[in-house]
This record gives sequence, structure tokens and C-alpha cells, in this order.
Amino acid sequence: MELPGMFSNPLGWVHAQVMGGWKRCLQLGLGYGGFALLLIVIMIRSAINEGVTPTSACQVVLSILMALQAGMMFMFISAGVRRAVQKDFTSGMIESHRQSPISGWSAVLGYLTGPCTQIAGITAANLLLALLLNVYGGMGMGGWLLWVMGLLVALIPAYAIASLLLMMALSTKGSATAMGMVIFLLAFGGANLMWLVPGLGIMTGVYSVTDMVQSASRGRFKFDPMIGFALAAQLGIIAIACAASARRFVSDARRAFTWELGVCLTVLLAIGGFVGLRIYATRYQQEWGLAGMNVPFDVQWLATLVAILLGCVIPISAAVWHRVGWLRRKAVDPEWRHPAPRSVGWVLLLIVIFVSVIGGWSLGIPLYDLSPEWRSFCGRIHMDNAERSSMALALVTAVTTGLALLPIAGLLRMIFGFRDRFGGILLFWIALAWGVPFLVEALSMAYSAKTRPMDSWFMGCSPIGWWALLLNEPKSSLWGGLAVQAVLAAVVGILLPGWVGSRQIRSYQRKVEKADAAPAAAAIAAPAAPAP
Amino acid sequence: MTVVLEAESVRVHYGAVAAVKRVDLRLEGGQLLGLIGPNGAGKTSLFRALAGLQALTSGRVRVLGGEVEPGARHTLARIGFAPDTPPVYDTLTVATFLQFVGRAYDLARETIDERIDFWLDQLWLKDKRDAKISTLSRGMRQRLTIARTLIPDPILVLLDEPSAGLDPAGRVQFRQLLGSLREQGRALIVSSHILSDLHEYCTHIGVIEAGRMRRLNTVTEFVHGQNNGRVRYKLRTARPAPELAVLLPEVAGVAGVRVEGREVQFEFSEDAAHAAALLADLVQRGIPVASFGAQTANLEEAYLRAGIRQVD
Repeated sequence: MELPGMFSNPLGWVHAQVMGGWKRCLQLGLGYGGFALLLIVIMIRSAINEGVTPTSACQVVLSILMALQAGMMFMFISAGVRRAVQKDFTSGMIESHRQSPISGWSAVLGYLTGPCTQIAGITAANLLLALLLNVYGGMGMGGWLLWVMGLLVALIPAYAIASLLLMMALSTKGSATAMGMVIFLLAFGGANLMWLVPGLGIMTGVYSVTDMVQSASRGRFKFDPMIGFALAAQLGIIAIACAASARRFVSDARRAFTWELGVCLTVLLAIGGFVGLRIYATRYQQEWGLAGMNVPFDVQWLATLVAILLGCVIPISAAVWHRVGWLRRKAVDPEWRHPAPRSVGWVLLLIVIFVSVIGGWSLGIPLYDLSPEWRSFCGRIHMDNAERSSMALALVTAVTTGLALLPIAGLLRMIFGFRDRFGGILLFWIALAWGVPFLVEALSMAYSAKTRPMDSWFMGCSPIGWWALLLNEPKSSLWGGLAVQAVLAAVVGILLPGWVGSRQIRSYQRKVEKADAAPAAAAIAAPAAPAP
Repeated sequence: MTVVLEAESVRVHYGAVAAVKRVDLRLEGGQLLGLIGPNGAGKTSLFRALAGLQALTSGRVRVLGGEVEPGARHTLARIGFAPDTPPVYDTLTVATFLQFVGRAYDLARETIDERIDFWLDQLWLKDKRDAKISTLSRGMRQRLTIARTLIPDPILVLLDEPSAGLDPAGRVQFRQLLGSLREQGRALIVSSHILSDLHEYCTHIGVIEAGRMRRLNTVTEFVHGQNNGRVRYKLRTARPAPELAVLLPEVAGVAGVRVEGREVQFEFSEDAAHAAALLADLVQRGIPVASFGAQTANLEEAYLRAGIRQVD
């Protein structure tokens, strides 16, 4: 009898074998289960001796058990996935897999299941212990089912981290470290700092899930609708990371992201970010506030915008890389018949539409309601109600997003013309064009001991500065900065890359031809001579 | 015969370094191409390009008409590539590792078991079936890699330095194995620095230098077509004759003189009459010639004569 897909997955099977197989899994489960049972008996006996009721004692132990199981799940899955990919790269087995008919998706499934089988024994032991505790504590099967459900919910963030790690490990040939990301997310997931970008706070809300899981272990089921959103976003992240990993598994020469996948990520970020702003922006002050730390709506909006614009670099970079790669191949290989990839401008347009529609929708009404200044700005563009202000906002967001991203697309085209990697120049540009005007404004304000209003047109030259002015000082001069942005976008985004790019392609062509030019004594195209 | 492999104008560049420069190849079923060249000449890059593991800068590779490129799973599955460093999972047993290979190629369980038995037997690894791979010697791992390559029944077999770790008996057996693979109609490319082995089992020889396929001939053409009417002679004297080191280079047509004790080697015309005249001349000059004869043409000689430069 054939095993169902997940268990017959060859890569999953072999990595389970490499980790010791079912025998080791059973040993771990029995060893851990025996030790845990002993500890639990000691804990409950001592609690009862001190006058605690068996139900309360069991609930406490169940909470500990759940935290332990969730923590081990995070650690085992993340470490297992990373170790498996690393082993395949260091042993050279990755190329053996790439030659076989294992598809990218099948490989992803294999990596996410096989190396994690060791946790199965421990999980089985914990499930059994939880059942015993629920029965002994009088919570019965209902309590146990809630506990199991909590565990299943905790699996989603665990796999979100694991799938991101898989993508990173395949992209860095196994050298990505797992622990940094796990510790970061466990430390900051759902933490106050994350609520600077409300969407990020929700998407990484591991603690919210833990909250629910712990309430489940006490026999009560407290479902926060925000968790539903967090889990949906994490499932989206899993899907995108798995698709990118599947691509990357096929070849090192392939980028993890296509522009389509990048756009999916951008849309997920935009929806997450803007839903966070629209629905949960005020939650920060209500539930997550820290004394002396007040994050106003416009700061959250700006932080969300920056996060989304940075996210947009992924699809733009994918489109640029694909385009430049195609042009370079075509330049040295006239017989190359692959169709030309989608133009970068088209991808940019698509991104701008998504960001602006979602941005306009999310920002329009709350801003209209929250900010009296904004009403006066809406008045300027002849808007008299919240719905129409959303449309105006979408238009404004479209223009400013386009102006912010176009120079980045141009820079990427130039950088990819020179080399296959980008980094320094792009970060320099973002710091220079987005950040420096802020800094200059801050210095200027400090120098003149001026607190309000911000009226520097120079600040408007930065896409983020422009929004800061708009949100805080709608009456300030916005058009000068916007004009500078338009000129920069035209020069850096269109004219310069066109000129530099064509020179780079020609130079690449010459370099390849030159490398081939060394005379060969007798290069022979095999005439398929008959075997002797 | 069916054309198995067609490579057109294959180029592989790593940044500014050109590893493979416009290589053309065409191989039919039953042909065995031996690929030789100095270290760093581009053999491994060419293998990886043909196996679909290396992105091409330009050109095309086809196996049985199907384009070889990353992700072309069904075409890639028809290629068996054994790299010079055996990729294995050390902690698995030989049988478990090969079972995984069979599973990865979607083979039925019975087929996997049959093929494992067959190839372990063919490669003298039957006794090691349940041994952990970590306990195998280098030669055994090499054989295991060959078994791994052949289990999916590929039509094109690419073996990069397959006999490097094999003992003398293993090399003999390996020669027989390659012969039987040829008879089965597979096309093979084997790279090796052991030219005497290649001479025995290859149908064709390709010399790659600095990324370019300098020569591509049948073995016979390669060995005999290189001499330009000249062969290498070996002369033994009854007593040491150091004067030969001075005398021989002065004779018209003699080149590459090498004196080692009572043995002298040099290159001269293959014409028997010229050789007889030279011998008579030497005897007349008082050289105590004990034996004199032309050496049999072989691949090693032909390769050295081809003047392939070592890569720095």
C-alpha cells in the first residue's frame, strides 16, 4: 500500500531517516514522556499538599506543558529545517535532488516535514500527558480538545517561521541562521515596538496566539478576532515563502521571487499594514501602551508606508533582475528564444495601483475623521465627504508612491547592469532621498529652537517627508517638494538607467566576446564520427 | 544510432571568468567520450552545464531532443551525473540511500529493490548493503555514487573523475561496466587523468583547454593523427653513453631528447628507412646500442604532443 503524499515524500522520508527515523523519534518520546510524567507527579503532589485543588494544579501544569510544547515546536522545526538544507548544500546532495524529478513544491513539503519528525514523539507524549491531566483535573475530553486546538493554532506561527527560514536557507545555500529570527520574533512578536507598524504587530503577534493557547489550557476559549487576522496573514506568508523556496530549490541561478510573487507579498503587506491602521491603530494606546511612549496615528501611518515601500523593492528588484538577465543573455546569444519578461514600468504601475487603492481606502476615512487639518486639505481638492476623500487619497498615494519607487527601479536597473547583487547603493539612496531631508529639518528646527510648524520645502523632497508634512501641516508648501521628486524620478528612474543600462549591456557583450576571442588551435564541432 | 546529446555553442562564465567557451558536442547512443585536459580547464563546468546544473551564459543543451535547463525535470531525469566528490548522506546505510534515490525518481518499490541488488552486485558492494556510508572507503563511496547515478536508468551518463579512488581491480571492473553501458545504447562522457584507462574504453576523446574544446576525435584519430609523421623512439645502450645527450640533438629531425641512465628517448621521423639510417649512424659513431625501437602510439603520448598548456 502506498503512503499518502506527505509521508511518501522522498525528501521528507530521507531527512527523517537522516535524523534517526522512527526509532529515534520513539526513543525521544519515551525518554521525554517518562521524565515529564515524573516531574508532573512531583509538581501536582506538592501543590496538593500545599492545599491547591487538583483542578487548579492541573491547569497550571497544562499551561506549562503547552508553553513547553510550543517552544519546542518552534525550536525543533526551525532548527530541523535549517539543518536539513545546510546538510544538503554541504554534502552536495542538493544537486542530486535537483537532477531528480522531485519538484520544487515536493521538496518544500519534504523539508518542512521530514526534519521535524523528531518532535512527533515528544508531541505524542505531551498529548498523552495533557489527556491525563485533563481527566485527572476534571476538565474532561472537552478541555483536552481545546488544548489540542491551541497546539494546532501554535503550529501556524511555527511553520511561518520555518517556511521563512527555509526560503532564507535555500537562498543563502544553507548558511542562514535560525535562532536569530526565532529569538527576534519570540522577543518582539506582538510587542509594543511592533505596533509602530500596526500591521506588523498583528502579523507577528505570536504572544496573542500564546494568550489564546494558554486560555485554552485553562479550559476557557478566549478568541480574539485579531488572532484570526494574524493567522490568515501568517498563512499568506507561509504560502509566499513556500512558493519562493520551491523556485529557489530548482536552481541557484533562479531568484526566489518572481515579480508576481513579489506583488503578492506587497499586497499582503499592504493589506496587513492598512488593515492594522484602519482597525487596530488605536489598540496600541488602549492595550499595548507603554508609559511615556505615545505613538500617534500619523507616525504609525508613515511607518507603515515606509515598511510597504521597502517591501515593494522585492517585486521591482525581481522584475529588473529578470529583465536585465534576459537582455544580457540576448546580447550574447542571438538564438535565445525565451520571450521577453514583463517590463519594469508595468510592474511598477501594478504595485502603485495596489498600494494606492488599499492606502486610500484605509487612510481616507479615519484621517478625515481624526484630523481637522486634513479636512481643510480635502477642501483644497474639492472633497466634501469621507468616501470622496478616500478617492483623493488614493490618487495622492498613487502619485507619491510612484515618485518614491521610480528612482529605486531605475537604480536597480543600473545596479543589475553592473553586477548581480544590489545593496549598498540602494540603501544609500533610500537614506539620502528619504531620510536626509528629515534630518536636515530636525537640525534646522533644533538650531532655530522652533517646534512648529514644519514648513521646509526641502523636507517635501523626501517621499516620507512629504507625507509627514501633509499629515501634520496640510497648509504648508507641498508642491515644491513634489516637483523636485518628479525631476529626480525622471532623471534617476528613466533617463539615467536607459543610458547607463544600454552602455552596460554593450560592455557585457564585449567582455564575453573578448573572453571567447583567445584563438583555439583546432576547435572541432563534433562530426559524430562512427565508433571504432 | 539515436542522437542522445546535442550541445550547441555552450558558454559558461563566472563573472569575468570564462569557464567554458562555445563548446559544441554531439553524442550518439553507444558512444563514450573521454574528456581530458589540465586542472581548471573547464571539464567540471562543462559537465555541470550538460547535466543542467549550471546556468549557461549562452548556448543550448538537448538530451533526446528535450532542452536541458533547471526545472526541466523529465529531461534532467534522463541524465545521470556523478560528480568528482561523491554526494551522500553519511549517516544512512547503503541500501537506505539507494532506496531514497529510487523514491526520488518515482520508481516502484519492487523496481527499486531489483535495481539496488543488481547495481550493488555489479559494483562489488553487495556485502556493504547494510553498512553505514560513513564506514565506506573512498573507492567504495565512488562506486556507490556510480550506483546512485545508474539506478534511475539514465540514457546519458556523465562521470567526473569516476576512477580516481578505485583500486586496480576496481578499475578493471569499471572498464567492463562502461563497456556494458555502451552496449546498452547509452551515451557516456567520462573525465579522467588516467589516460591509459581512457584509451582502453573510450570511442572518442575530447581535449579541453582553457574552456575550449581543442580537439574532438575518435580515439584512433586522436592517437595517430597527432604525430605529423613522427614517433617516439626508445634506445638502450650496453653501457652509459652520456655523449648521446649532445650527439642526438645535432642530428637533423631529432627532438625531445631525454636521457635517463642507459635509456634514451627522443622523437624522430616514423619512416623506417630514416630510422634505420639514424641507427646505422649511431652505431658507426661507436654508440653501444643494445636495443632500438619506436614506441607504440598511445593516448598519453598523443596528449603530451598536443601541447596542452597547464593552467596557472
